[in-house]
Amino acid sequence: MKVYRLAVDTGGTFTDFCLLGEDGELYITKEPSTPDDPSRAVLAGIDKILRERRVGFAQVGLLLHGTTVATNAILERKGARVALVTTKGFKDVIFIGRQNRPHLYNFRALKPDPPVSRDTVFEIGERITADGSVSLKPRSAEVEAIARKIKENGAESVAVCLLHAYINPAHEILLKKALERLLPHLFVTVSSELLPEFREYERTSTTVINAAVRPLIDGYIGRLEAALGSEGVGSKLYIMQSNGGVIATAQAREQSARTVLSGPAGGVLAGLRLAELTGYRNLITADMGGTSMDICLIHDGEPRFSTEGMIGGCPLRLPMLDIHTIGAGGGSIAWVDGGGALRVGPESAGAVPGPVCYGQGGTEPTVTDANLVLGRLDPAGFAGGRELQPELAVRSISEKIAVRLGLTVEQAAEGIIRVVNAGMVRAIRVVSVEKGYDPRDFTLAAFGGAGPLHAVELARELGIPRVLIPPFPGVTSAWGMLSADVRRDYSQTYVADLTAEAYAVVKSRLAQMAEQGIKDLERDGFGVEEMGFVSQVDLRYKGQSYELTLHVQGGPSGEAGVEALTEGFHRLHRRHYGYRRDGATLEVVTLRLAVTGRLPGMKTGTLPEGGASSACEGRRVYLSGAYRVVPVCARRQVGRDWAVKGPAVVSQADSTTLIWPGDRARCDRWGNIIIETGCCREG
Amino acid sequence: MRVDPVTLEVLRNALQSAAEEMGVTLTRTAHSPNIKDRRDCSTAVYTPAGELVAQAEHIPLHLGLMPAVVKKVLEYYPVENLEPGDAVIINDPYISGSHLPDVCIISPVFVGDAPVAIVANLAHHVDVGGVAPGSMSTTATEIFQEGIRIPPVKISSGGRLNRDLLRVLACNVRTADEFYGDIHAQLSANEVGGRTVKELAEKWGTKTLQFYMREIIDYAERRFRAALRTIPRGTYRFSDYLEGDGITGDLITIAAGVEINDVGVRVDFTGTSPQVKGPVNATRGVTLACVYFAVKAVADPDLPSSEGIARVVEVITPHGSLVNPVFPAPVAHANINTAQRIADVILGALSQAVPGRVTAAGTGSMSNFTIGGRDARGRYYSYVETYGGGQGAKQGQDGMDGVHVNMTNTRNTPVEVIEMNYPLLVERYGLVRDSGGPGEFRGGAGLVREITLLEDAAVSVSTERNAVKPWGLEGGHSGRNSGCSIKMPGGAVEQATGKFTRELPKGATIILETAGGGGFGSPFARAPEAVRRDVKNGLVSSNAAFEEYGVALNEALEVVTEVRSKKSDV
Repeated sequence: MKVYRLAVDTGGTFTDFCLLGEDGELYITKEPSTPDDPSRAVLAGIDKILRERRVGFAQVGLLLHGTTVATNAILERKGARVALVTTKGFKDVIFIGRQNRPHLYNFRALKPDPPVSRDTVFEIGERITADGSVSLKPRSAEVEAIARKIKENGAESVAVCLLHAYINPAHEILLKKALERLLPHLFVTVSSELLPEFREYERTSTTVINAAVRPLIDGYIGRLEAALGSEGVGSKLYIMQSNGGVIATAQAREQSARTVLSGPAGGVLAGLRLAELTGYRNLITADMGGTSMDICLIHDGEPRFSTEGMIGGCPLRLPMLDIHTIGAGGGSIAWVDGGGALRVGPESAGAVPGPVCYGQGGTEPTVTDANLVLGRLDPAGFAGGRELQPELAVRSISEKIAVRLGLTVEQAAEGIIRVVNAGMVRAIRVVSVEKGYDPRDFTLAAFGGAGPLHAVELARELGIPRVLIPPFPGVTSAWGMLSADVRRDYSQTYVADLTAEAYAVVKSRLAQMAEQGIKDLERDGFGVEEMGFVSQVDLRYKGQSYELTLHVQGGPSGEAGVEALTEGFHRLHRRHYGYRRDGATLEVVTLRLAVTGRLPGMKTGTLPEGGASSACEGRRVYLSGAYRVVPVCARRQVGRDWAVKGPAVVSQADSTTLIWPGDRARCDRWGNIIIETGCCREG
Repeated sequence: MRVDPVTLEVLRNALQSAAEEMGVTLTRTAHSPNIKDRRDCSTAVYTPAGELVAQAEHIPLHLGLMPAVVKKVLEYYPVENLEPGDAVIINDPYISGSHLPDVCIISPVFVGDAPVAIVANLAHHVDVGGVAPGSMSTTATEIFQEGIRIPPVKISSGGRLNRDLLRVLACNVRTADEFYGDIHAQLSANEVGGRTVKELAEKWGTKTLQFYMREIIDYAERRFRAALRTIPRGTYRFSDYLEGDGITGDLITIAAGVEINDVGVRVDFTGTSPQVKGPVNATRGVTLACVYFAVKAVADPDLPSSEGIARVVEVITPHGSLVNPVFPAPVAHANINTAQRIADVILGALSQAVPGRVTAAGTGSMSNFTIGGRDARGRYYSYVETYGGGQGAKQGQDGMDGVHVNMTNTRNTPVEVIEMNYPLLVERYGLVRDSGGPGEFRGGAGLVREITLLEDAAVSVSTERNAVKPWGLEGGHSGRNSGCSIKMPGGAVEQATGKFTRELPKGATIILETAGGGGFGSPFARAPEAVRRDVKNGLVSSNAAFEEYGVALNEALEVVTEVRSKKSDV
C-alpha cells in the first residue's frame, strides 16, 4: 500500500493542499477558505484531493496542518475571555508595556490593547525576589477568593504570571494546582511552564496570548479530530508552529501560542528544502501574496531564529523563524501624495473588493492592476480562472495616477511597479545588509502568487545573481510543510558571569532540559534514535541588553569549554555588530534547547529526461519604456531541458514569472525555474 | 532635468535606507546604553551644501538638531577644503546642538575628487566630563561645569584618525572605554552611509543623484506646505510654565505666537522668560526641534524629515531668553523638561486653530529618577530611568495611559531587571487612578513607581507638572499633577517636591507619581458607558464618576443616574 503525507495550509483567501506519495508523486489543490469555521475548507479539500487521486484515508500517514485560528483570534481581538493573576502591585505591567508609543508623531497611533481586560486582572499577595528566595507566600484564603472572582467574571481561560517565576516557579505551580482544582472547567496557563525567561512584560504578554487562544485551538482541533477520527487520520495530525517544526495536537492544545506566528513558516521550510535540493545554500525567500510579503534569510542552509516576535503589537517571545514582513502585495494601493510623489501602500484592496480589474467594485489602482496594464499578467488565466478586466485597470490608473502626474498610462503603471519594488528592496536589505550579509552571495527564491512577477527586478536592484522559482509558486508554503519535523523548544533564564563553574551549571541544566525533551518526545511516539538535539545559550557582553545565541553542543567542558564559547561569541558579535571586545566579561542569560523528532524522510519527485517545451505564443508586454512582443510559455510545458533567453513570460494557474531581457532561464530536474539575472547581453 | 515622480520615490527610499542602515550600525556597535538601548541617536544624509535629505531619528529631539549642524560646521570647514576620509567632530551647543553629551560626527562623501554628499550622525554619550557623573548636573550654573566643549575640529584627516585629539578628549571624560567605543561606532556608521551613497552615485550618476537630493527636499517642502493649508490662517498665542530651574522654584514663562500664513508658519517666542541660572536653558537647536515636532505632528505626521521642514517654519527666538540662551548659560537639562514644555506651548497655540487635531497637555516631563550608591558588595551602581505618564486626550480618542509623550520615546526598565542589577526592591509599578483629566475623552493615566532602597543611596528626582497641572482642551479638565513622597524606615511619610537630590537610608521607600494627561471636551458629554467602563477597570473611582462626570453607579456598576449639568444643580 502506497503511503502519503498531506499538508494543509490555511490562508486568507485559499486553503492549499499538497499530497505527496512516498515515491515523490505530488498533487496539489486549492479550496476557498471559510473564515467563520476554517475546518470546513480543510475537510472539504482533504476529501476532494483524496477522492480525485483515489487515495484512501488509511494511506495518509501524516497530516501536517498550518492554521491561522490562533493568529486571527489575536489580530481580530476575538480571543477567549481571559483572567490574569499576577503579583500584588503589578496588575498594570501588561497595560503599560514598555511605556513607548508606537509612532513618534502620530498622536492617534495607540498602544495595542492586550487580550485581557483590566477588570479581570487579579493581584495576589506573594513575592519571590530576584535571587529566587521567597519573601512572601500566597495565602490559600486569598487564592480561593481569587478563584471565586474569576468564576463570577465568566472567564474562559486563566493566565498566571508572577514576578521572578522564571527562577522560582513554586508559587505559580501552587496557584495552578489550586485553580485547576477550584475551577476544573478552565484552562490554566502559567508563565514558568510556557516561557521561563526574565522580563515580566514580555513573559506576561506571551502567557496571556496563550490563555486567549487556548480554548479556540482546543475547540478547533477537537472539531478536526472528530471529523477525521472517524476517517482514520486524526491521530496523524500535526500542527505547524512558528519555529518551523510541528507539534502533536495534545501540545498544541496546551501551548497554543506556539502556532500564532506559524503563517509564513511553511515558506521558509520550502526555502530550506530548496536549498538542500539545489545546493544553493544561501537563499533569501520572498513570499509575496495579495497584501503582504514575507522575507527570510537562509545562510549556509540554516534559517535565522528570533525570540522578538510580535502579534497585533503585543510581544510573543516564543522562538520563531526570523521572518520580516512588509505590507506590499498585489493588492497594495497606488496613490499620489500631497507633495506630488507616487506612493504604493500601505493600504491594500485585500481580497474584497480586490484590485480594480477584478470588477468587484474596487476603485483604487493596485499593483496587480499595473501588472495587467503592462501585459505582464494574462487577463484570461489569473488565479484559478478568474477573468480580469484590463479596461477597468487602465481607466483607474489613468484617472488616479497618470493624469495627475502627467504620465502615460504605461509610464504610470511601470512607476507603480518600480515604487512597490523599491519598498521590497528596502525590506530585503533589512534582512541581509543590516544583519551583515551581502545579498550578492545569495539566491532569491520567489513564490506566492505575485513573487515570481517581481523577483528579477528585485534581484537586479540588489545585485543578486540568481532567482529560483519553484514549480508551484502559489502553494509553496504548503509544499514546505511536507518536510516539517516535530520540534519542541525549552528555555530557562540563568543569569551569571561566564566562568568554569557557571559553564558546568549551564551543561547540567541543559542535560536536565534534554531529559525532559526525551520524555516529551517519547510520549509523542519517537525513539531516542529518531531525535535531534540543539543546545544553545544566549550570551552578551556584561552590560549589554541584547543577547546573541550560540550553540553549546558537545565540546569540551571546564576552562577549555568556556574559552571555545567565548571565542565563538566574539566572532559572532563581530559578524553581527562589526566589532569584538576581547577581554570583556561575558554573561550567560538564557539556556535554550530544541528537540526534534524526525518524521520519515521525504522524497521529492524529479521531471523526466528531455521534454524541452513546445513553441510559446507571443504577447505584447511593456518593458523598460516600450512594448515588445514577448513569448509566453505555459509552465506545465516547461520540461527538464527547457531553456530560454529573456524576455519571456511563464504563465501558470496561480502565478506568472517574468524573465527580463538579458536573463537566461532554465529548468532544473525538480522543475524549478532558475534565472541567471543579467548574466549575458541580449543577442 | 525633468522631475520623474517615480525616480523621486525610488531614490527617496534608497537614501532613507542609507540613513537607516547607518542607524543600525550605530546602535549595534555603540557602547553607551544611551545609544544602544535607549537609541538616543540619529543618522542622516545631506547634500554637499549641508542640506538635510534623509534622516533616521529615534527620538524627536533630533529633528531640529540635524538640519542645522552640518551647515554650521561647513562655515568652519568649507566642503571644497575637505578631502575623502575626513571627519569633523562637534558637541558645542553654542555653535550647534543641544547639550554636551550629544556628540556629532560629520563626513563628506566623494566620488573621485567631487563631494557628492555629506553623512552625519549624532549620539548621546554616557559621559563628557563636568561636575556630575553622566554630565547632567541639576545645579550647574555655567556650561563649563557640564563637561568638555568640542568646537568643529577634524577627528580624522584623509582616513587617518587624529589620535592626539582623541586622547585629550578621552582623559576629560569619566568613561574613556565607552567614549572610544562610541566614537568608533559613529565613524563606522558614517563609513556605511558613505559607501551606500557612493554606490547610488555610481549607479544613477552623480548629476542625477544630486538633482534628486535637492528634489527630495523640495518635495518635502511642497508636501508640508500643502498640509499646512488645512490649518486656518491666523496668529495663535499660548503660554505655559516651568516650575523652577533647579536652583530656585520660581515659575519660568514660555510664551509663543504661532502664525499660520500663506507661505508657512512663523513662531515667535517673544514674551518668554530671560535665560535662567540653572541648566534648563534650551539652545536654539532644541527649541527648533520642539517646534518642528509639534507642527509636523499636527500637519503631516508621516512627513519625511528633511531641510524641507526648516524652509517652511520660521522661528524667532529672542537672544538671551530661555529658548535661545547666551554663552555660558548651562543647558544640560533642557532636554528633560524644557523641551516637553516648549512642545506643549506650540500644541496649545495650534489647538486654537485646529482643536480636533491636537492633544491636550500630556504628562509634561521625562520624569528623571536616579538612584546611586554602592551595593552590598561595595560596587558602585547607578540606576537611571525616565518615566512616562498620561497622554493628553484628543478629539474622539482618550489619551494613552502610561506612555512617553512629545520629545522622547525611550523604553522602561523591566522590574525584574531592576531587581537583578541594583539593590532595589520595586513595590509597585502601575497606573494612577483618577489621574487622567476628566473630559468627553479622558486624559491618559499617570504612572506610579514605588522603590525601596536595600542599601543607603543618593536619590535624585527631576519632574514637572507638580504645581501647574496638564491643561485640558475644549472644556476638558486638567490631568492630576505629579507627586513624590518618601516613606522612611520608621513609617513616617514625607512629601517631597518635584525636583530634589538627597541621601536616603536603607529601607526608605520613594513613591513617584507622574502627571496624567488633560481631558478633551466636557466630562458631562462623556458616554455613560465609557465612564462605567473606566470605573469597572479601576481607572476612575465611583466617586470621581459622580463628582466629575455626573454619572452615579450602583454596586453592580450599572448607571443609575446621570447628572449632565453643573454640579451645583445636584
